[in-house]
Amino acid sequence: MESVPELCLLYEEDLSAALDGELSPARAEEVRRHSASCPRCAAQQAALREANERVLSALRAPRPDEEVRIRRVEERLRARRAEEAQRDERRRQSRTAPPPRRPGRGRWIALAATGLVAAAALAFALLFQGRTPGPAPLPAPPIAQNLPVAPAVPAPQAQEQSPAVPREPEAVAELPAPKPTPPRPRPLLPPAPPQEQLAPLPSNSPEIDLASADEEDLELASRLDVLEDFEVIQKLDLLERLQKAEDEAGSG
Amino acid sequence: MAEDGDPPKSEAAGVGPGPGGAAAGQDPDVQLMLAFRGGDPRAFDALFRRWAGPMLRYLERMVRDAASAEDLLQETFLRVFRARDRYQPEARFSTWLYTIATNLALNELRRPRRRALHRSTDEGESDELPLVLEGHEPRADDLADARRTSAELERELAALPERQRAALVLSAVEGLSYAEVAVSLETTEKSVKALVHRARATLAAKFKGRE
Repeated sequence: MESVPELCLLYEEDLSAALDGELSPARAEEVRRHSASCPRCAAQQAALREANERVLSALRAPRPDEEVRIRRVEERLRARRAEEAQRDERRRQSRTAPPPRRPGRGRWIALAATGLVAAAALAFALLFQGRTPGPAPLPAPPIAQNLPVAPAVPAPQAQEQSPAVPREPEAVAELPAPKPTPPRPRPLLPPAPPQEQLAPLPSNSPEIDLASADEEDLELASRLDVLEDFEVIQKLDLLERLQKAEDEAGSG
Repeated sequence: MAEDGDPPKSEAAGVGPGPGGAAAGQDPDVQLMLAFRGGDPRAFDALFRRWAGPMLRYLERMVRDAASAEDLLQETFLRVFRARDRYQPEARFSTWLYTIATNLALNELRRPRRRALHRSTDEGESDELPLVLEGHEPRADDLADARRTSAELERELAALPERQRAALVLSAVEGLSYAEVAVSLETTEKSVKALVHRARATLAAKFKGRE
């Protein structure tokens, strides 16, 4: 590449800027004077000017098919503008309108809160019942008798370890007597009639087996706000079953 | 970096009051844009009609593909449409428009597929690529008369680094000042001066070498 004399380097970029009218009058005059006395810079400026003119003549003219293409873009743009304007309008409306209130949500929350209180009370009662002949279980809260149909979520398999009805140990004479075990809670539930088999009790695990839930339950769950609601309903279902069993035991 | 479609703001550009800021008030395009911001859709149509041609040509120079240039033209005006509520007349409308178009074009060129295309064309590895826009090939006798056809010039221009190409086209062809080009390219005026000069000097050397 051609080496540029040091003095000319001071004017190099300004040769081009002068063509674009980007220099101050004083600087433009300096460049003009230098070019007049420097053949290299004079030639360079002429070459730059010619290149610039070629660029201008070649690129400024519109293309023959430009109008057609612009109309095509204009039509596409008009369609996009209409789409976006509609979307903006929908957004504006959704921002100004009050959020739609979901029917029944408050009722679920009230039921869930009541159910949790009742479940805590029942658990407390059961705990004491297992150790001492305490008072009878608390009567069921009225709300529990009017519980909605809760989703019947099958309990995990781990429930087999604590069946609802304890089995009698098999009498095996050869075996040593079993070691004394800590007192277990009094069996609360009578043997269930075969036509009313109770589902195994769910564990304390909060996990929900959605895969095995039936469609109706999942549909109900889809209407709940959060998964916690679903768990609460599950607990309410348990509470209702326990209450029912206890009522039957009391009457029987 | 300001978003492509952000309305012109001197703070975002980092160039003080903004090139053309004083003239923005008299810029008829700014008046149209303000009318559009005020809810007159005809003003947008008028802006499109005024600027679609130069923008399409500029975008073609940049991306060297007719279909992509049309897509980018549409996207440029969509950005204007979306930014209507935030528009502030702090610079000439054209400066803002070229900024949007330049960013879109440079982004398009940086896409992996496009970059591969660009590199191979610059290295002369492929003759199949659309260096010259379809349907614009001049006749041989025109080549002789004009000494350089627009197709040749397109090819030379296409071989320039993309920022040099953008600076030269914006300055020499579209008539933007260096300050306005600096806004469009998000750089300084000094850098624009160097970019324009290098681009022009490269073209001059190539023309000289062929004679």
